[in-house]
Parts: sequence; structure tokens; C-alpha cells
Amino acid sequence: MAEPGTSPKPTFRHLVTALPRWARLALAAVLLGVILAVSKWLVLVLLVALGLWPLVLLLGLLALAAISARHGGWPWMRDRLTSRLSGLVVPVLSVITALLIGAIILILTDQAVYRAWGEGRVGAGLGAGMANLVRAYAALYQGALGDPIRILGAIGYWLNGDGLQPLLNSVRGPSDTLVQSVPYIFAGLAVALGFRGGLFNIGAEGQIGVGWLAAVLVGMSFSGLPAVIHLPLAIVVGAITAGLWAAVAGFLKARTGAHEVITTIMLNYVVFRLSDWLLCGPLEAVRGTCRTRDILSSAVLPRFLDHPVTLHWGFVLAIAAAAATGWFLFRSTWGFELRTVGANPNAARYGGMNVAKNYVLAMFLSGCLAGLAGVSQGLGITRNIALGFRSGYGFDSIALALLGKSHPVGVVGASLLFGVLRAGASRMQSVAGIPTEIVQIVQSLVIIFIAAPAIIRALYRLRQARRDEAEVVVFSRGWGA
Amino acid sequence: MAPIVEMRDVTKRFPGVLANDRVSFSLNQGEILAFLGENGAGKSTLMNILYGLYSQDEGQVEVRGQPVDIREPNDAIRLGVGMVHQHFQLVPVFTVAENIVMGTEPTRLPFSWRSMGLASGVLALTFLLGGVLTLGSWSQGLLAALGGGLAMAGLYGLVILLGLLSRRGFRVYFPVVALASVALLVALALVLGGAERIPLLVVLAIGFAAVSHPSLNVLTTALDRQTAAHRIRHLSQQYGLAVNPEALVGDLPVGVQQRVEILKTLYREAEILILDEPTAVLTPQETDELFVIMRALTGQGKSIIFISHKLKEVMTIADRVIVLRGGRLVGQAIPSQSSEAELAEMMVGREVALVVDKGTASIGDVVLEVSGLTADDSRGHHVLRGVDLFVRAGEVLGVAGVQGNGQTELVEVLTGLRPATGGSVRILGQDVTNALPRRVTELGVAHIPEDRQRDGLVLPFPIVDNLVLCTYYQHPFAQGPVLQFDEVQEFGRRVSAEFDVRTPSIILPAQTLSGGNQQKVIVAREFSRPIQLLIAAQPTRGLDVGSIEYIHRRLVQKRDEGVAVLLVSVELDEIMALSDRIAVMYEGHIVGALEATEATREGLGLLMAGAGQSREKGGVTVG
Repeated sequence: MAEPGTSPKPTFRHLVTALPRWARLALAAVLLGVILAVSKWLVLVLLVALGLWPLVLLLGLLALAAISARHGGWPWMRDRLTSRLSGLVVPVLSVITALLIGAIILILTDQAVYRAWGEGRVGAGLGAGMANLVRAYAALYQGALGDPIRILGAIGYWLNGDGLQPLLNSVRGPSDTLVQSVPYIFAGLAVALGFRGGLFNIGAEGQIGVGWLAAVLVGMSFSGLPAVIHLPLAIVVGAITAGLWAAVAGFLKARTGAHEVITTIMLNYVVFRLSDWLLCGPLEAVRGTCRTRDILSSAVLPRFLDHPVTLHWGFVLAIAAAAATGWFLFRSTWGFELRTVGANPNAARYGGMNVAKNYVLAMFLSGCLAGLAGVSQGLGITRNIALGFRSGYGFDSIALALLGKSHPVGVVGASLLFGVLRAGASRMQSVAGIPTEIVQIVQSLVIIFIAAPAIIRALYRLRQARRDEAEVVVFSRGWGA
Repeated sequence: MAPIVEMRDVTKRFPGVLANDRVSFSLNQGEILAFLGENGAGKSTLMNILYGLYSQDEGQVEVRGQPVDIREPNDAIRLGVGMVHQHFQLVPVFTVAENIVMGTEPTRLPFSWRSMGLASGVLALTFLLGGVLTLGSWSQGLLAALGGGLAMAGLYGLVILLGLLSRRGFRVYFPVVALASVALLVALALVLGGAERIPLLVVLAIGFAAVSHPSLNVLTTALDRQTAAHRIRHLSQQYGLAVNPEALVGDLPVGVQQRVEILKTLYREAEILILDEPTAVLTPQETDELFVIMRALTGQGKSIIFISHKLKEVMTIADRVIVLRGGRLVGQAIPSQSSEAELAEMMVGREVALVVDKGTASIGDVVLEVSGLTADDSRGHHVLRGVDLFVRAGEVLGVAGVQGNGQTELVEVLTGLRPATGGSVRILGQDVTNALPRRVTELGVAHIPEDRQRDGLVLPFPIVDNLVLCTYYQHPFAQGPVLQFDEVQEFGRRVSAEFDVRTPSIILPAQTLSGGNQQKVIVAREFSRPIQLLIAAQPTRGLDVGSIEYIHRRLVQKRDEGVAVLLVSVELDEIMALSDRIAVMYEGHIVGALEATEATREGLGLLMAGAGQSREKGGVTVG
């Protein structure tokens, strides 16, 4: 999602639209080729930028200031900033507050603190607690966004001509963050799309499993297929299988009125138990492992860079899926129908839309997106599917859709936040010995604060936004509605 | 007579709007004071200030000569002010009695002498059981039961006495009960001693919570329901509000639900009743009944503020009329010394054409032909029992009738929203019985639905999206599956200007519009595409005089352009003003049909009441 509006270029747009169709296609193909060729470097730049985000922010502000000089200086810039960023105030404060409460919990659960207090050394106890806290949060930050000093050093090293490896090592944090956010983006989009269609899809967890399993099955078969066919085939089969699985719930709702919350929960159990049997039974590769064979190399979602940067093409797919979902929902007639059915099925019928068809379609697309979360994990990370594949992405995704106000851009933002927390959590556990559960607490608090912005507004004495915020989204209607 | 309510120089500002601008008025005891004004004139805002839902920015409110500060509805209720909102605040799955009592039961019902006895008894029993089970001895259990029962009785007695001594009722003493319960448990723990008593304590705690917490207090409320029902019966007899306290609210007709709302305020001992557009949802008969009730209420000393924008009703019922426009008080009148036209002019600020100006119809071919149409409603009742009618190009056929005689279902069947069980519908010669709604629309049928918020609009969507709700997939709004954003915006801007939709921006959600402007959006959408047949169901329900005039003018304009118009309305005046021919519906049949020139109010009223039913079917077929 490029920054729209910072420098509108109508002239360029006119130039492109003036070209004949074949020329535009050719141009797009050339552009795609160039991007593919330099993708490795683009990704590296992205990771470095993430690691050095304060610097990037500063540069951005400077650039904006430079532009504002032409438009009347500070007032213009202030309006621009407030109009673009006012929606971010509550989320950012929510994260900060959640981290503060997390810090209190960290200190309160620290055994060293109690040991010192038990010996009557209150000051020393608090000191130990604080030291532990700093260690934990430093690890959290570095695990998620890397160490900026180290990144700068590694860039210098590379400019000196001494190799890329130190730089790769230093951007491992940002890479982990993006890798963690990939399934979140897909699953969050799935639930958000369902919400827009008036459906509460709780079955993302199961649909992830279906997509994962189907993609891995295709990935292990068809030996000899070239990657250009094998990989897309595995992706598409994974997505569509999950979509069809989810469409069952849509079909039941459209035909019999069965509430999708019930059916998707129950379909989850069917997936969980069936996969238990499949993975420890017919599909088990080595007895006792409850895991399938690995997929063939032609079906692997390739990585951009060498170890330890594990970022793979699934990330690009996820961003593309977000853009496609946004386009579908807000710029296509199908999306218009889907949103209308979601917001007011009576008016949809009045407008000549087929409500039943749209329920099935919404569940199918939602399932496809959820399935892609599993596909990206299966083909990009684990390269097989094992009994413990359920890691809560499906259920977290409900919170993501709520955080992102069921808008693709919001979902991507929320997913990146969760990616940061999840990537940081594992490092915090390994380096500072703090259990990842602390981060889960922080995650939950963030959701609570964003879901109830009144808390944050009251805490920080924020004024209510002048216009009522985003459009009202119907998350789900009553039971049996 | 001394004014019971007086508001002086009340001003209320909302962002960008001056909702009330130095409004002053007084309400006398036993009087029906009507507030007349268009939608958005500030009537509801003023009443919400009196009821404590808003607070004024400037000005004073006096009740019974005392200056008062009404911060929340509870303050208003304490002062004897009751409000019946336009949209009822009832729980459909609860009984009438439960709905009426709701909100008062936790403060009053659990803390009575009877509930004290009950609570003590239940607690003693719990203590006995808990004592016997955990201590294993009957004597100990009996001792615990005696102690627990006495403690509870003491607590309750204390709370009741405090409540009797206090003006503010029992609510304040909930914290006392909670604190006392904790103290009781601690004391018990000390007396009984030791950690092995914890199971007992848990049982005690649960028992105490069950009997003292109002929301868990099922038993006492169940008992007190009888008293409530008794009081409700008494009230309904006193004021002639016939209601069965045991009936489920969801099963009751709208008019009776409104009586429940009135009873709710009376149950709370209201002396001053605010009725916010009470007739908007009522049939003419129900309105007449309501007026009888209102007279009964004022006859017994209650005072009523009646908000309306229907001139006729105000003229009939009010003792005095206050007219608001644009947040300002623009005039007062006594109905017997004024005229409808005078009030209408005051209300709108210009002369209003109360009579629709229309020439003679130039009638063309038959556009809509319905024969022997039957259909069921959602509950499976046969609501259409063989409807025959036709509408020709260039004429308005008005379908009159009391609400609920099958008009709603007739319109739904004609537009494809409800399946027909028999008979046929032909539009422009094509059979469209049970056709999909889209096919009907594409034949050139416009539909102004009866419930605009339920069927006609997607309220959270931008106005512009609502303007293309039926045509979003057609050229030029879409190319294949791609919405043409710019075309849609351009169309929205043009049409909303043409149909005078008043909004700062067409990308605001439709729910930000007033009722009149919402209806204009629907009219704009339906009239801005080529149509042959217009089906308008209650097109002016809930709208103010200015909007009604506008919609009527547009309907007549369409008729003059050669469109066939089927107008379904429960407003007899509207039917008589617009129609070229009138059909009356009664219990799923067309029971009478006449040329508009032959129709009289009395004649139509008789037909609507079923007087034409005995006529032969052949004689009543329209045309």
C-alpha cells in the first residue's frame, strides 16, 4: 500500500492511461520483471528500514516538512499529520499502556523481587525487578525489530566490502516479525471479510488446518513438476479446499438458517479430530512422529535471503491478498453486494441481490483467505504438517479483524503489531527467560484497550474525535437473525 | 391555574447546530400542550432536556414552581415526569407486567418486609443444609441456621429501616448490604474458627449472595410480581388502558404496546407525561383510542405534552399549541381559534399547499394487472385472499385500508420480495408472479418501501451507495465486476442536488440524515431511472409537512409523465388527495373500488371497517 496523496502525480497517471492496452500490459510485465530481479535487495532495504524505523520516521517528517514549505508551512503539515495519524493515537497509547501493565506484572511475578523482600531488602528487590524488566523488554524489542546500532554497524561493514552476512544476522528481528505476521494477515483478512458479509467466522483455525493439509499434500505429490506450476498449484488447491470447507457453513446458513458461529465451531472440531487421525495414521511419515513427509522443493515458497533471514514469498502474497481484499470489498460490484448483505440483508433483497449466494460466497472467500494462512506456513516455514499445527492464529485473527475495524489496511497494521509481539516474545523467552505468556497478556490488554477506547480516552484525557470515527461495521447480528 | 412545568430561555447547542434557541413555555396542570414542528425543529431535544437525557446549555427548568436540575432520567422520574418515546423501550419477550416493573424491581421489591422473611428463611435453610453436610451434626446445623436467619433478618431490617428513613429510596444501601455481608462472613469465620470451616463459609457466601443480590433474587421478585400485576390492573382500570399484564409484549399490537409504555410511566407515579410523536406508528382507530386515554388522564389531573407534526391531530386533541421552527419558538395558538393552514404556515415558515394540485389524468394502457392473488404472511396466515386490481399508465390507484389488512404483503408480492401462493401478477403484459426482485426492478418498477430503514436503506453505508442500491451493477456504474467509483460519485452528487437531499456530504452514512431526507434518498434512487410503474407504500409515514408536500408533488409529477402509480397508504387524506381511483382493502380482499370523485371519507371509512365485505366479488373488482 503506497502512501497515497503525499505526491499526487496526475500527469504520470494520464500518461499511463493514454497508452494502448498492449503497451500497458508490456509495461506492467517489464516492471514486474525488474521487481522480481531486485526483490532480494528490496526486501533487504525493507528490513533495514524496519530496524531503523526511528530514522525512517525522521526522514519522512523532514520530507513532509520540505513539501509543506510549498503548501504554506506548518499549518498545512499539522492538518496533514492530524488527518492521517489521528486514528493511530488510541492504538499507540493502547500498546504503551499494555506494555506498562505488562511491566508491572513482570515485576510482581519476579521471584528475585520476593526473595529480596523476604530478606528485608526492599530497595534491592525493586532494583532487581527493574533490571529484569529492562532485560526482558530489550530482548522483546531486539527480537522484533533488531538492534539499530548493530544494523548500522553491519551496513558499514558491508559498504567496506566485507560481506553481507553480518547485515543479514542483524535484521533477523524485523524478518521474524514479518514472518510471524504473514499468517496473521491472512487469517485476519478472512475474519474481516466475513464480518463485512455479516458472518462471524470462528472457524478460521480449522480452515487454516484444511488449507495447510491440502497444500502440503499437493506439495509432497507430483514429483517432477516444475516449480512455476507446482507451487501455484499447491497454493491454489490449499486456498480453494479451505474455501470449500468454510462454504459448508455458508451453505448451511443460506439453506437452513443455521447460525455460522455454531457451524464453524463444530467444523473446527471435525478438522481437529480428522487431522489427528490423518497425521498420526495414514499420512504419518515416520512412526511415532505424527508428521507428514516434507514437501518437494518445487513446492516450497522461496525465501528472499540466506539464513537467518527466513522471510519468504508468503509475505508478498499476504500483502497482495490484503490489496485484493480491499479492492474486492470496496471497488467491485461483488464486494458491494457482499457488504450490503452484511449490513442489511433486507435492503439487499430489496436491491435485487441474492442473499443466500452472498452468504456462501463470503464464507468461501473467508475460508480461502484463512486457508492461505495455513498454506504460507506449510509451504514457507514448516514444509510439512505435524500434529501440533494449531497455534492459535485462527482465534487471534478474530481480535485482529476487530482491531483493524474489518478494513484490510487496519488488519495488516494489527497483524504487524502482533507479529512484533510474537517475534519479540520468543526472543524474550530465550534470552531473558521470561515466559511468552507475558506477551500474551500484553496482546490481550492491547485488544481490550482498542476495543474499549473509552478507557484510553479517560486515562489520557483525550477529547472525543469530532466526527464519529469509522463507519459502523456490523460485526454479527443476533442469533438466528 | 399554576404552571406545573416552566422552561425559561432554554438553549441547547450541538456541534454546528443550535437545537434550541431561548425557548420558553409553561405547562399547566391538567392540560394537553402540543408541540408542533417539522423534523429537526427541536421538539424532541427540548423534551429530552426536560426528561434529563440532555442537559441545557443555558436556561432554567422549574417544576411545581421549584427550580430543578435534571441530570438524568431518574431525576425526572422522581419529579413525576414520564416520557413515552417514539421508539418503544420494551422487551418483546417479557410480559407486560415485567416490562412495566423493569427498572424498579431491584430498588423496591427485594427490600420489603415479606422479602426479609423469605430471605431469612432461605438463608436459614441453606445454613442448615451446609451445617449438616460440612459439620455432620444436626445440632450444629440448627444452630448455624438460627444464627444465619437472625443475622439476615437483622440486616434486612436495618436496610429497610434506613430506606424508610431516607428520601432517596433503598438503592443507596446496597453497599451497606455488601459490606455487612463481608463483615458477617468474617465474624462467622472467627466464631466457627479454623480453615476446615471454609466449605461451610463458601456455602454461606453463596446463600447470602443468592438472597441479598437483587439480580439473583428470583424468588422475591416472583412473589412481588403478583403485587405488581395487581397495581397494573388497578392503574389500567383507573385510566381506561385495557391491557392484560400477563401477555407477552411481542404478541401485542403496536397500539397496545404504547399503552404499556404509558402504564410504565404511570406505574412510576408520573404526573407529567411527555408523548413523543405517539401517533406516528398508530392506525387511525388506535389514534382515536389514544386520544380517549389522553382525555381520561388529564381528567384525573395529569398533564400531557404531546409532540407531533400532524396538524389534524393537534387540532383535535390539544388545549394549546406551541410551534417550533429551527429551534426557536415561533408561535402559540389555541386550536379552536386557529386553522390548520395558519399552523402549517407557522411551522414551515411559508405558505403550504395542503391540497395537492393535480390536473385530470391522461390514462393509457394497463401496466399492472393482478388477479386472484393469494399469499401468506411470515407466520403462515393467509393474508391475501384473492386480490384483483389493475393500474393504468398515467393514473394513481390508491389502496386504502387499516394497517394489517394485507397491504404490506401485497406490495411485497408485487415486488418479488414475498412468494405468492396463487393467482397472477402481470406487469407490462409479462407474467412476473414469483419473479425475482431484480427482474421486477429491471422491468421498470420503482418501489418506495413501507419501512425505509429496514428495506429501503443500508443505514451505515454512505448516501451515495444507497443511491445506486438497485443499479450498482449496470452501466455506467459498473464495467463487468468493477465499480466505477467516479461515475457513482458524479451521479450521487447530481441526483442528491436534484432531489434536494440536505446533507453536508454524500459520503456520510445514510443514518445521519433526518427521516425526510432519508425518504428523499429513496425517491431520488427510484425516480432517477426509467420507470413504468411506481409502487409507493406509506411514502410519507413519519415525515413533516414540508417533506410530505415534496413527496406528493413528485408522485403526481411521475403520474403526469405517464407512469402507473400504485399508492398504498393508511392515511385516508393522502389517498383522497392523490388518487384517481381508490380501492379499499379489508382482510386480504379488495372490498370496494371507486373513482376518486365519488369517494367520501365516510364511505371509505365504512369500507375500511369491513362494511363492503358482503358485496359480491364480481361487483367489487376494481374497474
